[in-house]
Amino acid sequence: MSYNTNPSDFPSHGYVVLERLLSSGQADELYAAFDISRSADRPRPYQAPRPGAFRRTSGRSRGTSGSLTS
Amino acid sequence: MTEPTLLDAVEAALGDDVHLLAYEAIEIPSGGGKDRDWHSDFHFPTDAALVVNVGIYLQDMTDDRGPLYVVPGSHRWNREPTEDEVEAELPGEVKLSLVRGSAVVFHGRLWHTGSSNASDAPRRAIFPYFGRSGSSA
Repeated sequence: MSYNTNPSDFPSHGYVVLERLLSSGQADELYAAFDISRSADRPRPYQAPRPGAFRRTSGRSRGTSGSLTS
Repeated sequence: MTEPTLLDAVEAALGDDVHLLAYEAIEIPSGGGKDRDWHSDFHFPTDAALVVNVGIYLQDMTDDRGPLYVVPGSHRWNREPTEDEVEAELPGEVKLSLVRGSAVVFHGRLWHTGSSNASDAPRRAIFPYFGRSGSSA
């Protein structure tokens, strides 16, 4: 069955097909990019901080601008 | 997103002042999807196109990959598919058997559906959404 490829018929059809908007090479590259993206976005295993890593060792808290380790 | 052919078609649908609202990269895995799942993406109380969706397909949309179907003219019906219609083959439906790299620009209210991916590979596509500027609506 044929489909609409004429932008001027959009108002009546509600859609228009743009054939080969991208080259086959561009489409293949983007298709493969899904795999690259998935690999890059894979969550890394959680590593718990070493014991005492965030413990204030001396002095008084000076609010949010203070150092927790000095 | 800046392909002149794409922007010309989007501007023909929306007017000269368009905005990229969002875009999605969607993958339907092998065995995923339904034969039909009719819906429209947006609801607005005017026949004027305020939003268009664009599907850019990254593989040949053969029957087993689960091509998009549309019902031409359904953007003027101003209603959603009924419960009986959602998963049915509808009179007048058109299958878009596109070659990879092809795109379809469709009205936000147009009834459309993907179909089952019976192939052994995922179906991948990019869907930018464009909106009409408030100043030109």
